[in-house]
Amino acid sequence: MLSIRNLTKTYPGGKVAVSDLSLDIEAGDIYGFIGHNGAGKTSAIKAIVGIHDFDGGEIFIDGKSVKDEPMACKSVTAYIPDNPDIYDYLTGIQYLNFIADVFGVSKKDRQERIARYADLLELTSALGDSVSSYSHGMKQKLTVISALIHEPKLLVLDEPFVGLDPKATVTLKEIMREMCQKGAAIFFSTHVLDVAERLCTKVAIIRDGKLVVSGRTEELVREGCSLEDVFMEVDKNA
Amino acid sequence: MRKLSMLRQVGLLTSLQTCNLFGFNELRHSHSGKKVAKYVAMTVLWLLLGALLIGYICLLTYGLCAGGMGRLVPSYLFTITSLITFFFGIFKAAGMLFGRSSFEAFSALPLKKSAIVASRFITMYIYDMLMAAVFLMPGLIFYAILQPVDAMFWVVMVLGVILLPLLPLAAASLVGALVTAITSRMKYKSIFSTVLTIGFVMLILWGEMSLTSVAENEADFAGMMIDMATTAGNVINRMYPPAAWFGSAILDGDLLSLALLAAVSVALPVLLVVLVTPKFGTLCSALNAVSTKGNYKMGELRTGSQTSALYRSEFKRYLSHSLWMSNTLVGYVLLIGIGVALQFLDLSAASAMFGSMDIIAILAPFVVGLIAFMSTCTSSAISMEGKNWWLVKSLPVSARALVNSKLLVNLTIALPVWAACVVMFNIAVDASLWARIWMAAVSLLYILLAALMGLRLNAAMPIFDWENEARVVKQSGALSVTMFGGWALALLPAIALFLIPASMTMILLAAIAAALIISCLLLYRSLTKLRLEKLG
Repeated sequence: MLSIRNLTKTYPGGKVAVSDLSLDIEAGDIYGFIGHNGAGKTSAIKAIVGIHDFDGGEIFIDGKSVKDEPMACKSVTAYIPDNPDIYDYLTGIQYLNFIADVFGVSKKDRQERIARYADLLELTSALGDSVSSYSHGMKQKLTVISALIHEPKLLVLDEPFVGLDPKATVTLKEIMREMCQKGAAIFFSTHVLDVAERLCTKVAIIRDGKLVVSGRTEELVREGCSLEDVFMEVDKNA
Repeated sequence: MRKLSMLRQVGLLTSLQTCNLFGFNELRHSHSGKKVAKYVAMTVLWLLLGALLIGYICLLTYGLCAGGMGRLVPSYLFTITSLITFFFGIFKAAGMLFGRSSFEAFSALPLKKSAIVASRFITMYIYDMLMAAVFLMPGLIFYAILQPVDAMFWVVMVLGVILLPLLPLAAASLVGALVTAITSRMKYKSIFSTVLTIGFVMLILWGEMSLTSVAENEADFAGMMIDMATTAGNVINRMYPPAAWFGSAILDGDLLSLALLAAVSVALPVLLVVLVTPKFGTLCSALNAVSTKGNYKMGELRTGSQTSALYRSEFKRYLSHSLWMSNTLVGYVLLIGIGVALQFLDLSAASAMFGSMDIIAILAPFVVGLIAFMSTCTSSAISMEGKNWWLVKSLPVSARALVNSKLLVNLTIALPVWAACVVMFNIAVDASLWARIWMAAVSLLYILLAALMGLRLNAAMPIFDWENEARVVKQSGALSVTMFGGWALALLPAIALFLIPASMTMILLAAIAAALIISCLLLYRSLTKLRLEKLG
């Protein structure tokens, strides 16, 4: 579903954020992307979803190149950023309707999906209010709903659990599992290693823009050894 | 732990708020060659605009001195600068003085509320003092070259620059806060706020015009130029007494006037800080209040195309930013005002001078052009995406769809004004059919060019990291280049029309229309080929 080949991203001034990164995320994967602050996780994610340009390599979503067919790639992808800066001059429902219009979601589907996810995340009663009155967590919930409206094949999330209340965190994890069962792929960055260990089918650890470890979670986490131990060991040897 | 004195607190907060004056701190710590080059280009642009402004002020000073009204120069410049400070202040006050987010951040620190209020006022004051120096000093220096002055002149000039911004800034803060307070609980607060702000601006323009008209009438009555100077002086005295005190102090060394100016200039801002401080937190919250209901129930949802969704969202964004609206609507309100005024003016003098009223019809599109270039909302439309820009880039939205939505919003505002002006113009002016057709077509093309040029320049110079919309809609490079570059594009053809023989007029108008169409097509093509991921 998502294939990253030798991705390199250099910022003006010469800082190499991502260097020669290659990853494959298949349908049904929940793929955790782990690394220090400034390791290059967000830069890689922003290149995948088309926010940042990149200097080298290729990214394919559903077999299509992000560089050559950006619209086709974006049509099957959803992105949830770490900081939900969304249109605060709209009400919650106006924002969701806007996203549904952009993705061309039918009236019946949008009605059903918004009602379902807003109820699950307990946001329905606030949908008529201006987004500017929302707390950080409420905005995060709104971006989650907006990301699910068009039933994406690939869901990309940057630190999705930051700011969510415990119940919403559990709900989001359930939604992520359900999506993968239906054949979607999920790629997300996190600092919370416990969550990654319990939720992800595969993980990748990145350091200074370079991939240091990747593979199936169960293979990386050996008996009596947690993902945290793996991360610390990798960090020590790097 | 050492407790900071009030003065030190004010100093710390002020230096924090002013350290990025003109983006200098960002430049100092930037390692990006592209950013430095952009900064240098912007500096050159601002220096050029500053030189133009100084040239204009010197010309004005020369004109007043040559007309025997040299004594009016100091008070006239003082009044104009105060008015400009006041206008800019109204737009800035709510955001800079009563911004809630930074107040909440500072409130958690061991700082006095009065220190926060004073530092915000001083920050605004520093910006305005620099503006006062640019407006006031070149004119006065040029005056000193033309007329003999004593040492006191230079002392009072410096004091004038220091004192000038205080009164208009305090008054603007009060008016700005009043507008925000009146509209803060309203559902469509930005629209009401815009109407009130434009209302204030129009009221002041009307007041100034009325006083000028009184001056002209009184001068006619006296029938002598010398009386005109005296009358104009009286008008300024009546309109803004501090300007008269400044005039007496700088020209006659009148210490009492200087003392009066200093006392009044300092007293009002101090009074404002003392009155506002105890309730500052409450005021910030109240002025930035957002009403919530929390009782939404899922109902029938409306569906639409991607283009209409982008257009609706863009239009709602426009309606939610009162400063952006005020800034772009003032020109169109003025244009409607000109159209209405045409109905009551006696245009026979122009007809007699040029043989027909065609000259008015031929020049009208260039007036529309001048206003369109200063009023297009597209020169800020990309920057206004601000922190939301990631959303556009991550959605399956093409550059063409985005560009169309932003152009359509501009045309939604401009086209009804254009149509109204064409109708009013045709009623008031008895011009030939061809002149009427050119008037309608060329003015429409100028509106299109202004929209496209504004958007293209904004794409070339976007600002996404703004905190206060004033940085984008009042001080951005895209806005300035669109306005001043556009004025050149409207004025030069108008001048050319005067210089060529009358028989060539229609040919030149056709050539201008063709050039405008080609420019519009090229700009639109360039806009639709934008790579959005490269911006920002």
